[in-house]
Amino acid sequence: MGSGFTVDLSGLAAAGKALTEGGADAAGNAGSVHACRTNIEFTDGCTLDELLQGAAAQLPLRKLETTIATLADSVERRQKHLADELDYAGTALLNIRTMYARADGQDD
Amino acid sequence: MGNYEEYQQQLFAEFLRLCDVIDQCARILTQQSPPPVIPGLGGAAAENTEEYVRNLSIDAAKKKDVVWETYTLLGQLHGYGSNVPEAIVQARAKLATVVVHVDDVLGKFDTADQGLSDWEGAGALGVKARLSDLKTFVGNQTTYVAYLDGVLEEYEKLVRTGEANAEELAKNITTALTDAKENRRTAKVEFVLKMFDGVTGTAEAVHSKDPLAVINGLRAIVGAIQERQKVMEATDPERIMDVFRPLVREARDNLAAAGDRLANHFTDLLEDMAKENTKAFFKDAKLNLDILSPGFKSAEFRLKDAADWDDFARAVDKLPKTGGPETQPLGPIAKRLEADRAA
Repeated sequence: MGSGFTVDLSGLAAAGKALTEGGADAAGNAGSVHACRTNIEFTDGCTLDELLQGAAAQLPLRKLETTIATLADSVERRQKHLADELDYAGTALLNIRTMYARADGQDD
Repeated sequence: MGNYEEYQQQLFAEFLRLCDVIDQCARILTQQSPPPVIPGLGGAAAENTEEYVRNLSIDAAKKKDVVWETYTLLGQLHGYGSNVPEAIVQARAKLATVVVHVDDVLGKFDTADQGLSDWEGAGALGVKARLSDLKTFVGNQTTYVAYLDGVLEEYEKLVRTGEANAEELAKNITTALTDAKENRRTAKVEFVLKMFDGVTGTAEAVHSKDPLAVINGLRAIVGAIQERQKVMEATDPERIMDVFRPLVREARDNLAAAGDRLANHFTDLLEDMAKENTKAFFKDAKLNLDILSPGFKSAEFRLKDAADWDDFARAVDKLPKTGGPETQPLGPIAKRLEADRAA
């Protein structure tokens, strides 16, 4: 084993940092989606959560209202999932970078 | 409280008044009360005969049934008592901030891709493929947010139109019944109902990635608002109801059909959203893998010959999330490499 052993890990570090920041941005968006969801009201005063739990009423727009409730709930769940995944990806890359650095004998 | 509620209250008050008239007539006929003095009638004693009172009671009963049917029919048109349009405006304003900030997230992906561009090997390819999947997820999420905003906009339009129709029907039926009762003449009212004439959506439209196409698609499904002229003309309240009943049914069915068209459009999409959401991006990071195990490819521990991504994913959780390598003693790999370097 000779020269060329020390590798440039700055790309990995930058990528990890970017993904962690992306996770924070996505979490901010998740908060906005949650605020949207809590504002939604339906024609008989029913809330979104009450509708998801199965509030029944023979109103003309009830089927559409149930779809809206499911759609908003799914968008929020996905947004939270995205934030979690980005945060994990960023942390994982930073740890991989550390692992490489140790194996490579780098001090930094 | 709008005019619709006032008309309903008016109808209910008339219903109670007619019930009271029937009650008073019944008391007179069964001689439970003194000689009749029925409010609003007065007049000669000849009018207060038993036959007169009986006819009055029968007439009041028929009108009472008409008024009650009108009251309940109007209740079928739409639910009231909430501030749906205002609430939807607030909800969409919150969603608008998501649309503004999604580019920030995509920008971070671009930075990450640049950082990883020199990374080669099986592990690197695995990581890059997973990041690509996640970027697709972000793109789909952007589309779903656009859909949610679009459907909220259409929902608000449907609610407003439903409320407008209900108010128009309430106003005109109370006018017609009042004219028929008080003026004892033929009641004639003319008004406009708003109907939607959309088309059933297609699967292709649902999966479009173009936000503008998405919104236009939703509008086409709900349909443009058509104004239809309606006339109610009759003397007898029961004849008025024969015209009124189908009008209420038409307004209600049209609104429900528009709402159902829009709801059915999303059936497949909601399933797609749920399935993609369950697709794991990283596997369980709590799995144990001894980084010192013989299977670990320490000899090729360089960027170009990275081990399998899943092994890395497991291994990273063994590392502290904070603190640099300078605080740790040299591990066996680094020690071995130190020895090689010295050799």
